[in-house]
Order: sequence, then structure tokens, then C-alpha cells
Amino acid sequence: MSKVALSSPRLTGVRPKHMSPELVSLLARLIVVLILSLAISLVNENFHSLSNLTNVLRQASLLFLVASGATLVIVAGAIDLSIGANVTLSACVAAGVMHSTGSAALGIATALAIGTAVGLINGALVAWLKLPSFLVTYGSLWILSGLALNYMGGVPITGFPKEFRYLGSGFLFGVPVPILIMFGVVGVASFLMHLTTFGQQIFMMGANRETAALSGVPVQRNLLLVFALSGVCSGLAAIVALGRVNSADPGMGDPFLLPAIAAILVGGASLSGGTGTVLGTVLGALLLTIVLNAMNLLTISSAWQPFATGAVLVAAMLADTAMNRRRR
Amino acid sequence: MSRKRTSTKATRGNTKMKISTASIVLTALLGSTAVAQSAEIAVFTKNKVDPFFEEARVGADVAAKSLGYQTVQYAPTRPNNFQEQIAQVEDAITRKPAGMVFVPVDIKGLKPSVDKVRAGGIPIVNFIDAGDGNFNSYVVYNDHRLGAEVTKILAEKLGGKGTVVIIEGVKGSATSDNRTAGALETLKAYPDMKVLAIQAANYQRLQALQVMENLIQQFPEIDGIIAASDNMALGALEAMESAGRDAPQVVGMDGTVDGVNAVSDGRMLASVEFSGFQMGCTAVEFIDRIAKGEKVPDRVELTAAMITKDNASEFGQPLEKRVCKSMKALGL
Repeated sequence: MSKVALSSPRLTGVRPKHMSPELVSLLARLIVVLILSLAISLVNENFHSLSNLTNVLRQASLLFLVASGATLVIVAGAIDLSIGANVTLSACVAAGVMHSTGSAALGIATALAIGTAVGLINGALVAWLKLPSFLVTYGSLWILSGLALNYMGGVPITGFPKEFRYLGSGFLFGVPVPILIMFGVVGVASFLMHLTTFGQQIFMMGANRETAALSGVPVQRNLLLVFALSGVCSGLAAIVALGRVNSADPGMGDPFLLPAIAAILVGGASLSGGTGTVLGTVLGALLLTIVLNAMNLLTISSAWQPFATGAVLVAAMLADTAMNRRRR
Repeated sequence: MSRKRTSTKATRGNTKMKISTASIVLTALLGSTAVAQSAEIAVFTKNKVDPFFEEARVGADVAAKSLGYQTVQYAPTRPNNFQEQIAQVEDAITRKPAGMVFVPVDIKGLKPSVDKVRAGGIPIVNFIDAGDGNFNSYVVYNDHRLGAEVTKILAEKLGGKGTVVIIEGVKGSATSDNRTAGALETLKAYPDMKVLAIQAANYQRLQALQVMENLIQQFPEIDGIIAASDNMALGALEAMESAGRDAPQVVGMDGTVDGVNAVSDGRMLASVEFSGFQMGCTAVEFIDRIAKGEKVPDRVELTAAMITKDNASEFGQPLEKRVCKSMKALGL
């Protein structure tokens, strides 16, 4: 999209030169989040308290971590459906390791190692065997889920070392650690995407994989890398989730899959590849989290919660489209 | 592919195993004196991903073995898949088992399948979730009563006054809705108790944690938490503890190992047993009775045991250590 937009004569004349399409898209999303927040603040005074805003950010950071690496996969024109199940398996095995060794470091290493290994296997199957990423990762979703169930044997593992829990529920200078981890990931991923050759290449791959390959982009290596990064982020999310809830069960990561994909798409990425930013994914995760937070604060009946989530998502997309049209 | 099935005895192994299975069936046929009967009981569960159903399968299996049967387990490979369960019922009918113990993935939708089973002269006992249909009998718990009784323990502990929140499971599921309704029913008798919020966490511990984190922002004082599952009760409790809030009184339901441990540690006030294991045992025992031409009750609601600190040591055993309670012990 970005490449097309830049070359379109209809667009270039109107937009100030320093406003890239990505920036416009991000601003549009930020405005949607702010309007929604303002509206909720008007009906509930607790929403805009500092403690609740911190709470919302902390909840969004976990969703963001699950979605962060997968943003790169989607920008590269593929998809990773195994993120939720990867969080589950990484968390379960890390929990088991900590349960038997009592070592926080080993727990962290295990979660990251499993997350990355899963990403590498997904990536290898997609890159070299040229299997469709949707099916490969849908398959690994089930495999990982099955492994987690068999590993756990139906009994959750609870109670982890204090140092480990710090990563999920601790504070540094008054800021919850998961939020700081989120900032770190945003920084690293944004750098990778926008300031490196690798980043330029994945945008090209997403826009047109064949053309990218013909232009000398190492498509296979890059695919392996984006899936590996997605796996690392699942491992990281597993660590934060475990630290927060202090318990591992074989279903813990599954509910993240669709909200994570939704956060990426609401954040401005396209399923056809070639567009998207990690900052956009942060805003997408925030939007989804704010909706649930507001419904809890307003104690809206649980029966209306799915409806409200859907309605806000559709409204956000409509508002975004309207704002983009006006700019053009 | 979609009709894959697993069995306790080899049914899709090599010829040798098939012959040995056949001979076991044959022995059973020759050995039974009064009625010629199959030695197989088909056990249907909703999926293979929820540990609860594993508990039910083990219960059915333990009872079947002790009564001289073997079980064949059926569960959709895609969790709770309607079409797949229908196909599996038809598969099972052709094997002419001694009976079926069955939990429908769709309470209304499996009714025609149940009719087919009965038309084939096969007894079928419904367990876990009460479905519509011409079942020989039902073995269930009363979720409404589960919610009501555990809430009573909480209300008494709080001296009949204070604020509570209710954490629901999946909104719209019979289990969750009935448990919540039961809790609300009990609270009616305590006019000084106030329900601050009823919010869903879909039986997930992490979701319950986040829902509770949000509720903490809205309500400075929460005296009690009623959760429709132990798993969610523990998630909600974690949120309160992390936030450094005064420990509220928490009650859960199901009697999971984790929940029972929390009760015996004094972190949770109480839970209530919802034993898939026992439902599996009793349902199989009913099949045995029907197969022998004996009468069984039309419907049985197992009495749910309250789990408090006093008796927690009797609950939460690992699956391999559990034993079926006899019909006599259950008062049937």
C-alpha cells in the first residue's frame, strides 16, 4: 500500500511531504483511541485515573507481546496462527522446569528457547518447503496444544520464583515491568522494520514476493527470520503471562490468538501483506483492552460484551476510513 | 479423518490384535449366561482438550473395567464439533455396544441421534450436561444448587453483609448461567449483601485476573468473590493479592486439585465438587444395570459435596488414585 500511495499523483499533492502514509495511519488510530477514551471518561470517572490507565497499559502490553512478532510476519505477507498455542506450550514447559529446578533463569531460557524453536520450524516449513503459512501454523497450533495437554496431564502448575514473577507483576520506578518490556519490543521491532535493509525487504516481500525475489531479496532467509521473531515474542509473552497469573494451564494462551490478529489488523496492517507497524499494533491492542476494561468498570452485562467489542472494532474501522478519506 | 476414534483395546491395530479383541468379545458372549451382550461401552465426550473430560473418561473406564466391560472413547477431533459427534454416534451404533454414556456437544441438536441409538436397541445414558432426547437416564449435578450452596457458605462467613462480585464462565452456557442464577438466588435471602458486578471470564484464569484487576479500579471495597469455577476464583484472588488489597473471601466451584489445595491452605473459603470422574462411574454403572434388565432411576442428580478447610484432605486426589463411589454410597 505504502509504495502505491507514494507514487499516486492524487495523494502526493495533498499530503505534507513529511507525513508518510504510515504516520497518517498511526495518527488516525491514535485519534480513535483518544476519542473512545474520552467518551468512556465522560461516563466513568475511574477510567482516567492514573492507576486504571496503568492497569490498561499493563493488560494491553501482554496482548501486544503476543501480537508483536506476528506483525512482522503479516507485513511479510504470511500469517502465524500458532502464536497463542506457542505461548501456551512455552509457558507450560517453562513452568514445569521452574517447578522442578526452582530456577527463574532456567524458566526464562526455556520459554524463549521453545518459542524460538517453534518459530524456526514454522519458518523452515514455509520458507523452504513452500507450504502455505496459514496451514502450517494452523497445524502447529494443534500440535503445540496437544503437546501442552500431554505435558500438563490436566493439573495446572502454580507458584514460581520471586525474581521470575517480577517480570510479570513487578514495578520499576513505579512502572509495571510488562509495560517496560513492551516499550523495549516496540523500540527493537520498529528499528528492525524501518531502519534496516531487512525491514525494507519484508515490506517488499509483503507487497509482492515474486518481485522481491527477482530483485535479489533473500525471501527464504527473511521468512525464516520473521517466524523466528514471532516465536521469540511468543516466548516473551509466555514469561510475562506466567509472571502475572502465577500459574500455567494448557489453555492459557489460546484466547490470545484472535485478539492478537485483530490488534495487528486494527493497527493498520493488511492480511495481504506490505503494510503495518508495531506502533499500530500497540494502538490496536490498546483499543481492544480499553473496550473490555470499560465494560468491567461500567459492569455492563457479560451478555453484551461480545457485542460491544465487535461494535467498537467495526466503528474504529469506519472512523479510520472516514479520516483517511478526508485527508485525501 | 474426521471419524478417528481411540479405544482402550486395539481396534485399528494389526490383524493379530484384531483377532485377540474378537476373542475377548467372543469369550464375553459365551461367558454371559442370561443375556447375550457386547462387552463394549461407548463413551462420548465433547473434546480432548479440556482436562475435565479426561476425568470423566477415566471414571467411566474405571467403572467399566470393574464391571467386566471395555470402553471405546469417542470425542470430536475438532473440539465440540457437532457434525463430527453425529458421525461418531453412527459409527458407534454399527458396533452394537452394550450401551453408550453420552454428553452432547449441543444440548438440543443431538436429539435425532439419540433416537437412532434407541431405535437400534442400545441403551444410552446422558451425563455431565443434560441434553434433550429419549435417554434411558441422566446422571448430572444440579449447577443451580452448586452455585446456591457455595454462596451460602460465603454469605454466612461474611455475617450476611458486605459486597461481592460474581465471575461468570462462558455467558450463555447452561453450566455458568445456572451457577450464577443459584448464587443470586441465595443472595436474595441476605438483603444486606450487595452484588457489585457480574462479569464473565470464560473459565480462564488469566481472564479472571484481568477482569478482577479492572473491577478493583471501580470498587474500593470488595468483601467476597463468587467464581463459577475454581480456576477463575484463583485468577481473581491473584489479582487481589497482587494489588495488595485486603484478602476477600473467595468461593469457587468444581473442586479441582488446585482449588482444593487453595481451600486447604486457607486462601479460598470453599469450593464444591463437580466430579466428572463420579459422573462417568455412575453413568457406566447405569448401563450395566440396564443391560442386565434391571431398573434405573429416570434421572439422578449427584449430591455435590461442599469442600471446606475441614474436609479438603478428602478431595483433589490425582486421577489414578480415585475410586468410584458405589450406588449404595450414593444412596441409589
